[in-house]
Amino acid sequence: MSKSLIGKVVLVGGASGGIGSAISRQFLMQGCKVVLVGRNKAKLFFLAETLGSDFGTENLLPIVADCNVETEIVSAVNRANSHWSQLDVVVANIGDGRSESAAIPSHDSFTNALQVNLRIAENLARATQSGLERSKGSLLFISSIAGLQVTGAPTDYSVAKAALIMLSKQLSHKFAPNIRVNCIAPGNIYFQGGRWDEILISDPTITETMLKTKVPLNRFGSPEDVANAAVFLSSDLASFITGSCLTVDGGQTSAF
Amino acid sequence: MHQFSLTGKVIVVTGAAGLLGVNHIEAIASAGGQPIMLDIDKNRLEKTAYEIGEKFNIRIPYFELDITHAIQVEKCCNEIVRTFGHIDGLINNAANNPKVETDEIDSQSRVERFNMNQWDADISVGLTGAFLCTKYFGEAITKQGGSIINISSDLGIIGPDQRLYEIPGIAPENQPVKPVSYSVVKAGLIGLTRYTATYWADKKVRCNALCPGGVENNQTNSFVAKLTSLIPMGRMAYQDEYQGSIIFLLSDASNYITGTTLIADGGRTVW
Repeated sequence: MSKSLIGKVVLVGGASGGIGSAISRQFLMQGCKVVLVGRNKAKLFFLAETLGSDFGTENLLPIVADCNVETEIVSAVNRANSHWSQLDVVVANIGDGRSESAAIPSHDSFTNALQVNLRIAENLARATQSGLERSKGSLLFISSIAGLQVTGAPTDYSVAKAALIMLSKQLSHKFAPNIRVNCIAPGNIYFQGGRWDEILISDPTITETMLKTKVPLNRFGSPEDVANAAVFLSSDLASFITGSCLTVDGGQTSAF
Repeated sequence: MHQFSLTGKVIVVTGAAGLLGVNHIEAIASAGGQPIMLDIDKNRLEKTAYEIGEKFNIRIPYFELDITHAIQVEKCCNEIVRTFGHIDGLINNAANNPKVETDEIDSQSRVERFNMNQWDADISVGLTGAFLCTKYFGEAITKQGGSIINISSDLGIIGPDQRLYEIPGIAPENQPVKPVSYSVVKAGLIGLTRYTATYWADKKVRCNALCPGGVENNQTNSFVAKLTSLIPMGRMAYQDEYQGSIIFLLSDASNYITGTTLIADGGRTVW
């Protein structure tokens, strides 16, 4: 890449999952320092160990935090700030597509979906706003194509992801000109242990049919596909891009 | 980063000697790709192909070409394939775009007086030309897969704010406006993008639209002040600022991205 991310400090919320770990790895490959924030201590430290052996432990700061609790987000951000005294990029990657399949899920399910897929991102944006303003940095939300169109995803999850896209647009306007704010809407991303892995194990034919009938490129996306887009949007390559929602979906939302 | 590399890729760019076209060529060359310049202006082609070639120490082939003529496009495509063996990318960049800093936009641009010859010429370059290049170069790309970028505009997403072009002291019915054909062409390119993305998905041809906002180019101070007040980032784009998007969309870094509309407008269209 012609324009460098070397030395930038990146905070990845939801770092230990399939997409989060790929995003963290891609930023490290660009020469960034990465704050890994995740809830599952064992997974997070295993990831930190793996990435540390490839990129140096001095470039990593794993922080265990339950981002459902706003004070834990604030503590994690404070710890990151005191460790590196700068924050250039934030990727809000926390989300969970598992929910009730009813057309209108229960009140509790809706509340939970909004909390996990929207409110955590909102709290992360609030906690990191001042740091990103100082660095004139980049804030990136990971939404979903379920926030753009009706897919097979649960209603409450889709509504939350749609709201996340609007949060991104609102903040792109209101945080301008100092912070660029963008959004990625991934399609069907496959990784071991992910939702599609679970479905594939239970019924391989469903996934094949889904890909053939709904995804023009006729394949799953990989976490690296999302990570490449995240690196692009967070770098100077995208210095005039703010308020955008970039689909990484093999053409699913433009077809069929 | 190898995913962002264009090494070994042969990429054809239309309108290549214009303001944005030259920057697309530089982007391709800077990422290790082989740009090929197409334009109707031979003098500018010669000059810019030489200058960029010198800068990156490569030879940049160029073709003086009217992209609205199918036979010319087909011949050009055949020659490129004969020379390089393959085509990996296409940027449909050519379009008529009257400049606001000169008097090219005048009261004749108003819908009520819009000249049909102008309409035909604008649609011909912007849409027919993009289609013909997609038809011939795109088919060549299907041989091994690749990427097509259609250069749309923020005005492919939103309608023009005609107050930007107002001249004090002129009656409302005589005020110049951004031509209707520009918006139609730029919106049409988004349709061509989605069509191409789905049509050739099985051939591993990706197709995406890039919607740039206004670029700094010696516009009048009052125009810049009015426009930048509409852009959350508070400025117009620098001339080289879309190079990153071009590299990303042409490269393997965007391998799972097709049919999308990448808006790069400083936030102009979010409100």
